[in-house]
Amino acid sequence: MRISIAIVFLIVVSLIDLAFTPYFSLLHVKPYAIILFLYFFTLKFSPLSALIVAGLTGFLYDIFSPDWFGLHMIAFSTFVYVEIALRDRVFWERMGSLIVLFAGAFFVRLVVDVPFYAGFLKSFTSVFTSVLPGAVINLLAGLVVKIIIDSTQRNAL
Amino acid sequence: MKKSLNIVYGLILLTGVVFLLSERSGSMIGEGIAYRTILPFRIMLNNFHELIRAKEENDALSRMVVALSLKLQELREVQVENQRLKKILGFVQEQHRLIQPVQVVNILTEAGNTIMICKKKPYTIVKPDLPVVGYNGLIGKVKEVVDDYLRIQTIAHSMTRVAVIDSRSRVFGILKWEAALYLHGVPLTGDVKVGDTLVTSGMGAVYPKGIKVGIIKRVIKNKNDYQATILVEPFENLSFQEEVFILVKP
Repeated sequence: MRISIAIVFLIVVSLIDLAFTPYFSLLHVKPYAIILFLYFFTLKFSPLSALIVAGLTGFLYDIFSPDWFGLHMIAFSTFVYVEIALRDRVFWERMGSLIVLFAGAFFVRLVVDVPFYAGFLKSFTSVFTSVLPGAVINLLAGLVVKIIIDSTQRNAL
Repeated sequence: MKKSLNIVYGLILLTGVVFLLSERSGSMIGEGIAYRTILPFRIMLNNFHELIRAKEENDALSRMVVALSLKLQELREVQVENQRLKKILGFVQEQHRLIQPVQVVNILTEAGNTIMICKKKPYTIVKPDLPVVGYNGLIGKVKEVVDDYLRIQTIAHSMTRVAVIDSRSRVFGILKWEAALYLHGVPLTGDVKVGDTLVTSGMGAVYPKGIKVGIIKRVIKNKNDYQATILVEPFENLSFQEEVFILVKP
């Protein structure tokens, strides 16, 4: 049951990111809701399935993105891999653990969004106009999702 | 961390790197991999984008069609009103002309003058001195008809004179080719500005009134001259045309 819900979430999140980006963008910053999805998916499901999902989703995003093919695969799987590695070292129940989400979002956007081919100045500017605001948006959205998940779990108990 | 996890991560990473390198390396093997793996998806994506673009274009064109049909309706009303007023005032009515397409078979430039050789359909009757237009404006006039071939003297010919009028200020002038198209007969006080559109005035009886000819590119008003030097850019590309249209009187 849980995995089917996760698949539905994955489809919805991918649609938001790939098809409806112009409607969900804040100040021209792409939402990248998939980062949130992967973050919580890795926490709730087995590491292997999370890594496979990250790889496949990265492949899907690479297909639909005009950028370099393979970047999303590398970025998503590395983010999930690092999160899995930190799994036993961070107290995930605490709000402070969302710093991993922030760092992950920053890393993914840095790899995927920064136009390194366009020269140093443009790349450097995009870190402050796209990467950092995007990571902050992901962090805030993650905070909301965490609160919702925590309250749902409390109610279930 | 489990060994299997490292292997899966390594595989994903390797696949990503292979994809990245295959697309960017330019080597035969790389291109082969890219061709077999990425290209089908890229084509699919391009088709999808094409579809979206076509839809947007279709929407824009639909809106334009509606706007133009409304404009056409409005203009028809104006035309009826214009004809009625001309009838009241006793003006001579401009005869409606038929459009006869002809194929351009050659474009000759002799001493800076451009002449077009066209081929007409065998059964059509074309006489000299009929005006010739393109999709955007005036081309010239029929100079000579030999069997199924026509010799068209374009406006880029030193022997051509076209009576024109500034569509904004209604100032008259004569267009003449002197290595470039110049408007003559406009006094220094004449109200002509860069960007004004010139249309045929209907004087001279060769070119009917209202055919777009060109746009004013430069206006030089020298106090020592009695008229302004006005450079005009024709709407039509006179060095290349595939087909042109002859305005035939029925």
